[in-house]
Amino acid sequence: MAVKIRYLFSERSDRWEVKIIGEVDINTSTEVKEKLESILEEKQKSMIINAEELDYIDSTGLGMLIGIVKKLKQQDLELVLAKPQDSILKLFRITGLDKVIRIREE
Amino acid sequence: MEVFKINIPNKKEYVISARLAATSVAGIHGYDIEKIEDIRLAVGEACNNVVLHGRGSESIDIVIEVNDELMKISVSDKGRGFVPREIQNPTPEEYAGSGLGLYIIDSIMDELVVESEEEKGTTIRMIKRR
Repeated sequence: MAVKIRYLFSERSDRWEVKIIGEVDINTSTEVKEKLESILEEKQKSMIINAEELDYIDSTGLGMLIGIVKKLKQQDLELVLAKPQDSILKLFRITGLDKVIRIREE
Repeated sequence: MEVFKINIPNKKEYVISARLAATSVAGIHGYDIEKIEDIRLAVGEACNNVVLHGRGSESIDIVIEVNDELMKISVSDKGRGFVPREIQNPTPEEYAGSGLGLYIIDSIMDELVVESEEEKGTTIRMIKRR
């Protein structure tokens, strides 16, 4: 399965709203990383990732997200993961990533 | 036990094939959704480990043995092998490193054993009980 990324900048909330659809794995995480970095190069702002259609993420995808979080934190910005599926929420909790990335379940 | 075997090229593009095969077998044998998701992730991480560290191995062997009580999965390569360390929860700063995949498998499967021999390869053995 491929991965799709949709994004727009919300003037109202002053942050990027990104939707990742599909699977972020060893085969797609580099593509996703490059896309997220290019979005942030366009405008250095906080980012919310809508994960309701993110079907799968593995350790390479988690590592990629940590890299994005580090870049944002250097600018005092944040990454929020919204509406993750149960399996992904479980993975974030197992790895402790829920303490590094703010999760918004609804 | 029923036995299902596949062999995939040691390339990142093929890892999804192993994940799909494992979830298919788990589904056929009536595992619930949460356990199927665990098996999908564990097989994916085990194959990732080969793609990232199984240098010298052309392919990955995945063997799934399943009965009414449990599913035994082995993921093997014929790469250069490594010295397994104790599995620990990496800190977020280490997430880009190699320890996270095995930590995840250890957390979601009922048993995990990593056998590795230099110049002969590595086998990751996992068990998921029903």
